[in-house]
Amino acid sequence: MTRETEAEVVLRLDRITKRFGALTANDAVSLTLRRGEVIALLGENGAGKTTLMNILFGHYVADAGGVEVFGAALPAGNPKAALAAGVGMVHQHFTLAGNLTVLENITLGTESLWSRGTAGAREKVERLSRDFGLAVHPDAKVARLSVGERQRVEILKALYRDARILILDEPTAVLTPQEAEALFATLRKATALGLSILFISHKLHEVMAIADRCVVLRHGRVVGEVDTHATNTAALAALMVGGELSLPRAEARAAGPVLMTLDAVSTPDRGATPGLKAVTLDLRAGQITGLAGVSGNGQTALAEIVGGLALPSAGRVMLQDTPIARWSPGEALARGVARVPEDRHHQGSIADFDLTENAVELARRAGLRGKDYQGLRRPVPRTRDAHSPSVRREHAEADPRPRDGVRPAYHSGKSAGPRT
Amino acid sequence: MSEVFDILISASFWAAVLRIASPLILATMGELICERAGVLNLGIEGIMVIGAFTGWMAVYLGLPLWGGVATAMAAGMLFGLLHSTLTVPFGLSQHVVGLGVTLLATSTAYFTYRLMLPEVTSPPKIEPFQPLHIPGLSDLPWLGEALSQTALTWAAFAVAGLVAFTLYRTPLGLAVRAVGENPAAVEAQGLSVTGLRMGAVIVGSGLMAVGGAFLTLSAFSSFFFEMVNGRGWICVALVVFGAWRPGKAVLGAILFAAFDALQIRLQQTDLGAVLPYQLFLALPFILSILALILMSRRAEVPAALMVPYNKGER
Amino acid sequence: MRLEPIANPSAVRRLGLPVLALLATLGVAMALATIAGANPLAVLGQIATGALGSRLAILETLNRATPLIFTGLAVAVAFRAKLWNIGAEAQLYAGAIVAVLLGTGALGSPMVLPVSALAAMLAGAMLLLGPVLLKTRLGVDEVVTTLLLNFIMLLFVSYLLEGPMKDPMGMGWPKSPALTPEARLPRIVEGLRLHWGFALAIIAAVIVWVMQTRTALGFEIRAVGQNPEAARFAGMPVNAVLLKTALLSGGLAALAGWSEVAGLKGHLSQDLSPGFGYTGIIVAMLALLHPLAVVVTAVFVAGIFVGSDAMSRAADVPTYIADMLLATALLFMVLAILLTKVRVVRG
Repeated sequence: MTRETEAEVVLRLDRITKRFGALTANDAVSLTLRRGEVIALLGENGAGKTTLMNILFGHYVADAGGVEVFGAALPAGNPKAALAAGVGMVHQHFTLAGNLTVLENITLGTESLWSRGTAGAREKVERLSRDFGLAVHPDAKVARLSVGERQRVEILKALYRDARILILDEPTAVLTPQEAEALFATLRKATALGLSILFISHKLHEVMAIADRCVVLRHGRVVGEVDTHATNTAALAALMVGGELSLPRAEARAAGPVLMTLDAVSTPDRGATPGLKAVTLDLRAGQITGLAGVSGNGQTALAEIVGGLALPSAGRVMLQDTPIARWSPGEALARGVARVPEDRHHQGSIADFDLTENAVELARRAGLRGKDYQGLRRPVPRTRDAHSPSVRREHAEADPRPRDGVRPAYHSGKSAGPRT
Repeated sequence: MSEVFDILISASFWAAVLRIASPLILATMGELICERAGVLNLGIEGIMVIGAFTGWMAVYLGLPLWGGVATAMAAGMLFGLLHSTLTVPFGLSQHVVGLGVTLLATSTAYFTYRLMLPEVTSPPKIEPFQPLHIPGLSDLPWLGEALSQTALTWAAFAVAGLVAFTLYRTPLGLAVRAVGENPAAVEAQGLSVTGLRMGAVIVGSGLMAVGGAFLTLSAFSSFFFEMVNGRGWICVALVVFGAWRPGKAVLGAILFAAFDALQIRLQQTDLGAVLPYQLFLALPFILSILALILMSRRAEVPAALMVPYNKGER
Repeated sequence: MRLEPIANPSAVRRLGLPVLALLATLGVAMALATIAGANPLAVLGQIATGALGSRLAILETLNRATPLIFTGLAVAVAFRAKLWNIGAEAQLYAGAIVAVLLGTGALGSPMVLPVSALAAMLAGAMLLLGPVLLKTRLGVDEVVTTLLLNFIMLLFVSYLLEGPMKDPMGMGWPKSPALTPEARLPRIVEGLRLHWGFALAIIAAVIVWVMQTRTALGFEIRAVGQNPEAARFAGMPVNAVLLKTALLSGGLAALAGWSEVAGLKGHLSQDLSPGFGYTGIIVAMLALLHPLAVVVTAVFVAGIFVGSDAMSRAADVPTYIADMLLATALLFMVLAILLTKVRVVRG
């Protein structure tokens, strides 16, 4: 991977600025990508990476600044123009229709809607699969594919449209290490064939492995641009968070009594997601138990059992050595098992309720009564407003940590849609 | 039971089945297109009423029969435009808007009817579509009678074929199926979610209106209040019964029509003397509920049905 | 275009847009009157006087509002939980049937009114229970099942009125025998044609309001409607909440039919309800599902109906103008309410 300084510039972002209300998500971000180059766009969650990519791809319109692809200005707010100019995007959340086949997903939107469709699509997909090492069956239903296979379809979609610039938004977040290796192999083939790649990540070791250059975003601003071979992960991390990180150290503590036991617990498979296979686990007082693993390997099933949403198909769950008989979220809360769900917007809170209601709801369910939550009964902003930039900024300012966590509400999930 | 058997093998019974199925097929195809694109169109009942009325009124005022069909279609598309404007870019509740459109379309038809014919006690008749004579086919012994159908019935089956072909064999159909499953996939490929969904609802509403017009232009020769009588809701059930597939939905419509034709004939038999006629009339509605229950476990609902899409919101 | 939520909508926006929606509906009314060849202002005036112009008119409007309050409440309660009960019409008739069953001599005099009211509520509740069980157990869409049940119920009523429940003294008309005097709801003020059903409807609205704002069930209903997934994660028995909602909603709708029979008509006939069940949806939506506002919108909607009837007798404007106006008001209003919360932006 040598950097080709003389290679032509394929993509130029020029002082892109995007505001959401009081929040500036991108503040005069400039960036230059050359032919055959891999640039990593680094930054913490909320640093403005995804907003920048959405502008580049035409999902959002920038308030100021422009995008040039192969020397020509790209019209704003038009995904079609971005596609036509040779920009292909692999979204963090795949944009595939599960009821369609691989081939259908790839050809979707590439032909005139009023035509009969073009011949030769299958041959082209098969050829691209071979050339780039993206093995996937063209007639398979996407709903039945594994996460890694779906990502291959996403990349094929871009390649099928003859993309010369590939944007990958956190592509490895959902992959196993083996799948990530295969992805890197594909990306190396792509750059060897003259494609340019913008790789969004916050996994530093991956960035070091694949990128030629790193651009670091913080608070929506470019705070550094370094050659990968001239830096190291510690320096990049410091750039990302804006200061040296002190590594947390775990102190050894004596474990308390066992509070909850999963005894050879199993759950059925769910489509492509495997269930639990005889998992045994003790949760002890005064102890934090970490669960490592690539997502989609049974974490959800485990969390559901612990949280009272499901019962195992085999094995026992015990609370303080008594096997549970009735088990529901309400029962779990009453027995002192609380759960902070992964998807807080959909599962954890009710956007139209105020904070008291959201808090009281949980408190009441957890068995608190009357005076325990009387103190909460005073006017507080609605949950939705609490996500609004201004309120969140106040939170952020009161927070000693770096302010990167500030994100406008309409980035995420369904918080935006008041419906009748 | 031999009476039932006699009914089932008679050509006139099957002629009636195809006749009864035709408006259901047209409107079911309309609803199916909407739902495949992700929009539940509960305006269907009212759109069928406005189709029945405008088609009939156009012919009464002097247009040819096909002109009546075209008028009905245009009226249906207009209400489809209203429905889709509110439900697609604005993302309003498809339940509420659908019921509102049904009420608006129905009352518009009744209001206009009373306005144009203030004095009449019984509505004027028009000369409806006549059964087509197809050389060779019409002279066959049993089949000739069963297939003695108007052009609009043949058109209903042709429309079903066209819808199936478009959905599964053309880029347009691919895009419609995709937008009902995952609108983000459609937008990422440079297509307009709003355009596709609105287009589907408008075209689908046009078909529903033609289904309504079948009642006045082919089945009966006049317009009556309450003549649609829940057919629209039955079509919504038929879409579920057909698992959102045109072929299965057509089969469902035919099955349904067969029961309807049978209950009319059973009323004339000994059975009809014993059982109240209301039970026979309720049979279509009871069957629709049973069909929904039967299909509930197996149906493959379009994943984004009733989920509005707001650009850039993920 | 894209919709962007407004963090703190201004008062002008929050009040102005709904007012604008009503003004737009008024505009449509005047346009329709003009199309019908009448003087638009005169038509509006005739609708207003027809609804409120005399003591008789006001009482007629309040009488017409009574079943609409009940069905409006039924819909408001159900829609709050995102339970799409479109079957208030059938539940109304269930209540009416019970009123006749128990009110024509089957029950002793002092208990007949409360017992038949409770029995009517139970009947309506049972009628909605089926579709809701189908929804929670099998995932069958309740919109279609409740709609279809309306048609089945109407045919059942027709069967009853021509068969087992037919009035032998009815001169061949399909109607039920009259209720005994004890089974009738008395007038609120002797001599005025307004029965106690109206007062009960208002009491019901207050009870529903208290239930929604002050009880755990009300909280759960709102939570389930807003976000069933979060409600489930918080330990709420979502399906049980839906069932309770259904019982309440079906019961309220049944009271509409019960009070029409016991308070106004005195017997059951096929034309007992000119679509009160469906109109309840409009009443509830215009009230933004607020139980106390339902009383106001029910009177408003009833006024439009009563006024349009009177107007149509005077001017040559078909009475269906009332339904057109309500549909228009509904669609304008849901759009206006949305636009108080979001703004339309480019890109």
